[in-house]
Amino acid sequence: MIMVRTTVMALVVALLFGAASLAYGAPRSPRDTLVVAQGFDPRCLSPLFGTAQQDKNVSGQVVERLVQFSPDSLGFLPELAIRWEKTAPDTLRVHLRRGVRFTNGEEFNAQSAKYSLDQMLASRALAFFVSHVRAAEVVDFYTVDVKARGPVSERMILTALAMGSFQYPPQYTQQVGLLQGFCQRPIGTGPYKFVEWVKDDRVVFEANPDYWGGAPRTRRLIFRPIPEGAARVAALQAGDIDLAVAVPLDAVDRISADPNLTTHSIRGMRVFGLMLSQKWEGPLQHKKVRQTLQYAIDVDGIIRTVLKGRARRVMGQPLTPEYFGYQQDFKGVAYDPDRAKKMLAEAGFPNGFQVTFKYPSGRYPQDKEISEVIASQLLKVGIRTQQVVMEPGEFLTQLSQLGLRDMFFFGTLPPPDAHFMYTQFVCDFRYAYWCRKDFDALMARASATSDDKERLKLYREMALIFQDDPPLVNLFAASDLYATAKSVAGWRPYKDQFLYLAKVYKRE
Amino acid sequence: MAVVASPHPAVTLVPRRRRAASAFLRDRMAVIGVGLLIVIVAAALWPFGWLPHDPTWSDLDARLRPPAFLSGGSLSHPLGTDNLGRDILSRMMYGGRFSLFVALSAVAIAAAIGITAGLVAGYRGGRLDVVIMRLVDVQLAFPLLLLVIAVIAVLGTSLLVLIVVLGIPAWAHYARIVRGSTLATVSNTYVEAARALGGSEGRLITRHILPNLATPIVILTTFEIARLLLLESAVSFLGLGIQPPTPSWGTMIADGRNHLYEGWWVSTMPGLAIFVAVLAFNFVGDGLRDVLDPRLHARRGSF
Repeated sequence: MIMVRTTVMALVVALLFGAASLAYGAPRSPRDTLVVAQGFDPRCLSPLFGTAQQDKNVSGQVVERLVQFSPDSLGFLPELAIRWEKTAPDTLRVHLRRGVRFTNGEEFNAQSAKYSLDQMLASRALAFFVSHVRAAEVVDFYTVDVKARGPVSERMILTALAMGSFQYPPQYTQQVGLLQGFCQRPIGTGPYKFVEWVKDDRVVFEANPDYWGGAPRTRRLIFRPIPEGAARVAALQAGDIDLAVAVPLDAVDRISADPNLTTHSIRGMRVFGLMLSQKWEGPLQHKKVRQTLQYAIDVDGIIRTVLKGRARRVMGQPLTPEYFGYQQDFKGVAYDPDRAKKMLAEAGFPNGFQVTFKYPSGRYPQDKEISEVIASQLLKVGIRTQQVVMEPGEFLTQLSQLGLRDMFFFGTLPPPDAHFMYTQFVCDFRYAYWCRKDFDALMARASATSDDKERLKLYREMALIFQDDPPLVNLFAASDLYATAKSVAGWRPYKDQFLYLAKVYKRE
Repeated sequence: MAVVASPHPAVTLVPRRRRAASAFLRDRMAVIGVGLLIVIVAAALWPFGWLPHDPTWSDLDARLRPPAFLSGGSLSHPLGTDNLGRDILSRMMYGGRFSLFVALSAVAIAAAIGITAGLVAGYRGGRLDVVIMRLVDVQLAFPLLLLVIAVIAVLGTSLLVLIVVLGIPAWAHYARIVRGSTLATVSNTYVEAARALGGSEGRLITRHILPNLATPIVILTTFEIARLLLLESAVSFLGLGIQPPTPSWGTMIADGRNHLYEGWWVSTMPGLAIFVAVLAFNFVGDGLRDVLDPRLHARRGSF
């Protein structure tokens, strides 16, 4: 553990300086080559390895899914599936694209699709998203049935497929191992073919001339890890890269002023909040105190200043309108420190109290700044915080060990369905910092029904429990920010943060 | 052992001190250093209630205000405000208190351990000397920043941890220099004479050897303070040092790092504070060495 953390720190320092020099040392990106910079190098090029989007963005250029989320994440688009229909309360019949081959010559059909779906169902990394799916069955040469564990809505199955239905060539995958050889050399049906991976430097792809969607106009695609946001922007300005992911907000003005660059922003769905742990004795065990906190934090002020307006306030429920289960009519409360003070006094804390406040630095955009503002605003109503700033790795470790107390700043991006958001609050969830039996009962009912109207009603009741006995203070959903060279055409950001690059090219 | 009579140091000590003091005052750099230190210490000790603003109070509508000497600046925030609208001058003054306190306390720990170890090694010699000096070698060979980061990763960070973690590894410089000077002093005839008269070991060390080590120790201390001040800033910059809301110069630089384009002063002002403080300690250290170390006297005047 010690070694890991020191190595991480040493790496951070090295990369801080290394990446900057790299950015200026690399050759300019030629016209038939697209260079994409993300924050870190993938750990494995198998999409089954983990759920980090930046990993999946790299492997996703080669390996495709049956279904993808639409750009606004409200619906689904066909990828290797062409259409689907419910044939029974627990069954979704999926019709596959015909005549598609993996780049090693293997054929894509119902057999290979079943093999790939079995991999998805066996994956530990994906279990959270696909646990309601039971099995995949071959119907005919180009049709598979996806069976759920019980009656379930079409959306729920499609969400699972959009999260994890990556399609692998069975022979090759069995030969090299999905989490071994495939990690180093992925093969799929996608618009690009894997060429080489130089660890911590670049992953190189070339266009797949036989791609079913038409060969990409971009001949070479390169992913480069540049950890520091400012260094990514500098590399973009120098013309070394063409697309930068996760651009820091503070660089927006600088990019706008550069005639060669464009920013792309999309309203993100990662919901940020202040979790109020119920695992520890203290003032936060009082329901009334937890209700008070939403009046004490000036979320609009934070959005206007620190987030430069590039965020949406999340109110009354930890969901944005894209989530299925979002309640249109729920209103938030206005910032009112005087009212908060009065409510605290009524709750028995006229002189305020002290709590521990943990937050990561570098895990989410502007996390430390936002947390410091929150701490300073809480102080104005008499809540003194003992702040603990944490390195992201340590933060995640403590999160899963239920060690974060008494409150902590966090963000979560589940698939856009209230089911996946609220699953994170049931009593036996890995990171459950709050527990209510009646909430769990509603959750069980919602999971057991295939009727979306019924689900909507149940999620409403669950959101009402959150308002009465809040496990968290809802804050905001920040926008995702990308920047490209002006010459880059044919690209748009997706709300699920996937990078679709098949149609991207560079203008003269 | 040499039997040539050497004058007892106490006889010449007083005039030498006086001469040193006047020489020190003639050293312009040293005087500037002392002046800067007085200003820095006064600012750091400035009572909390008299600070221009509460250093942790954030005003989101007054983010990244430039210093008074730039256009758009105002005298209510003489050095501007940071990314959260906090007054930089107040934070620098209040943060200096913690930065200096950590550096001074750490040096005190280092000196206590290092001087004791150095005296024992130099006076006793033999196997004990070998063991202590090898430990010094080990300590000096280990990259200090890495050690500090590793220890903090295990223990978590707090003011006390920070002081101890910075202080203990710094003992080696003291041990090495004190041992060398002890070896040189032990062979003096007045020490031998004191021993012949039946003086106890403790009396010999405290009355006859230690006073003669004052010069190198004082000089080393000024440099060590500067070194640990820098190290504390580095550790705080990495987020492992002093925790918010308490400001420290290192964390202030880190906070401003992402705002260099819109508000360069957020990082630059605390950076200047570190620069000036380290420079001041080094000036004073140089000045003291020049006047107290007789070997350097020949070179004086050429500067």
